[in-house]
Amino acid sequence: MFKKSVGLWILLSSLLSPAAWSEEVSVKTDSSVAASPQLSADALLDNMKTAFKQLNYDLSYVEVERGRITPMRYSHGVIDDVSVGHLLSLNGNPREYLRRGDITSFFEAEQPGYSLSSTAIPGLLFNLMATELTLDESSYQAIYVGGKSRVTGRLSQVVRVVPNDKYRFGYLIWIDITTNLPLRIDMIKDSGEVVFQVMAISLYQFPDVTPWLEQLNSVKLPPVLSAMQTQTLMPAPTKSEWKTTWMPDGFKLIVSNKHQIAGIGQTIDYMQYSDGLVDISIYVNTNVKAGSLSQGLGVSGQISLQSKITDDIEIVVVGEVPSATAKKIADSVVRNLDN
Amino acid sequence: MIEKERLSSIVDNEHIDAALLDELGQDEALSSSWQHYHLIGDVMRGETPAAVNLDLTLAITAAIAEEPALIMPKESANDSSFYQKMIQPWLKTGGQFAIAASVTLMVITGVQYSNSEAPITGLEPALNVMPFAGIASPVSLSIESPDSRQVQPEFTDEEKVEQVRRINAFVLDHQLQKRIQQ
Repeated sequence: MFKKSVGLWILLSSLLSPAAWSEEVSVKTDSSVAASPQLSADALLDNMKTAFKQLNYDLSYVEVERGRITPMRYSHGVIDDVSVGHLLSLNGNPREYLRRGDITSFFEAEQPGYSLSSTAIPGLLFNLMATELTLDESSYQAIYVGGKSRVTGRLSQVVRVVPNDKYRFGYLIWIDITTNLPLRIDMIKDSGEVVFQVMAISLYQFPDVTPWLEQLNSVKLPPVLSAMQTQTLMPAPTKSEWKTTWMPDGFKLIVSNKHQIAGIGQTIDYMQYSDGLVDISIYVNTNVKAGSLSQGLGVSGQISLQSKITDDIEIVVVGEVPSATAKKIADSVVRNLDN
Repeated sequence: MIEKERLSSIVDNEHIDAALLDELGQDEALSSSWQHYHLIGDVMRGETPAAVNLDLTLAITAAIAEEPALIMPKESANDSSFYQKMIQPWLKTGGQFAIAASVTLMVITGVQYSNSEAPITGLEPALNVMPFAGIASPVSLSIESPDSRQVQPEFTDEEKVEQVRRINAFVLDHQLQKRIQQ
């Protein structure tokens, strides 16, 4: 009942003229309003990230990737100055993620829940909200796209996040004028094709934390996995016997190790690169007799996978980058003779 | 008609009628008029988006609402012999690891794979139908029966399965590494 009445309040408030509701909101969120001078794209993004972790709200959205639609619901609130967020998949086997402060708990089908420290809830929305895109050394620029656009029945402003080169995806972000929360995110290729989309279908803002989140906040979470427990997947870093001779600007080596790949049981050389927003994984397998992919390319919308075999060595590149980038990286992998 | 005049005055913010607002929430015809008045108002104030914005949110909400809560019972979801023979056992071994993710199942059908060196542009026709190809039909299930046609025909069935399994193992590992390295 509580939810409904507040929802109605938001509906009613949208009935009033912009000048009237902007006053209301400025009291609540202490953020920019439609009446104030136009903010820069960077300021709009900053306000969005602040709103995302400081407001009390329920945001339902769909993820669209190659025609497949996945509905999700994200509830957020601030309890004792700590941001608490809960993401739930709405169809099929439930997947749930609960983030409390710096700890995220994962609940996925057919396995016990676990927690990890200092990691975000998985998904493009949360990656974007946790990433500082507009630093000087960043590979992206934010541009304000003029005008107002209507999304989820609300007026929004559009910010375009443009990569400095064609080797990564760009983004269009629709930001709600009233709450500053993100309403729609398009992940786009250089050519303008949308490869992945987050689209809000309903947004309720609450003056206080919802009872549901209060309840979740008191739940005892699964223990944080120790380094010991993640060792199979993340052994101590080693200097790789391989290196890339080409990487798009701004991608830095995060880790290199040898680890066992779940599901195929092979231990394979691994390198991970990141530009702060997206990641690229490079696998080099010298034992192709134990199994390998034939040369080829796979695309799942936002993820590209490129495999190649040269001189009985299998190279696989996986990342949230355009397929041409994955191919160029795979072609650039050589033995690291500096060792 | 009188109701509509009262509605119009609400839209124009001239007079707030609490009783009518109450009714607005209940009466579909009235709320549709209300929407139209707002649209007219938006046009007059020049607040319409640059491109015509079809009411997609409504279509999506409707599609989701129409979908039965559980469209497939567990058995039929796993009905495909492909799933039973190959994917399921693999999932079970995956469970032995401290961390695994159900994300893989989504990726299994999502990856289009070709073993040829064809030009990259030719390999991604499916992207052209983005972003709203599937709204009318209930495609929002994360688990779909795997479509083996996506793999090139020169593979035997066993090889296809092995290739798909391996692709997904790499994609899964990539996602898990993202999770723990952050």
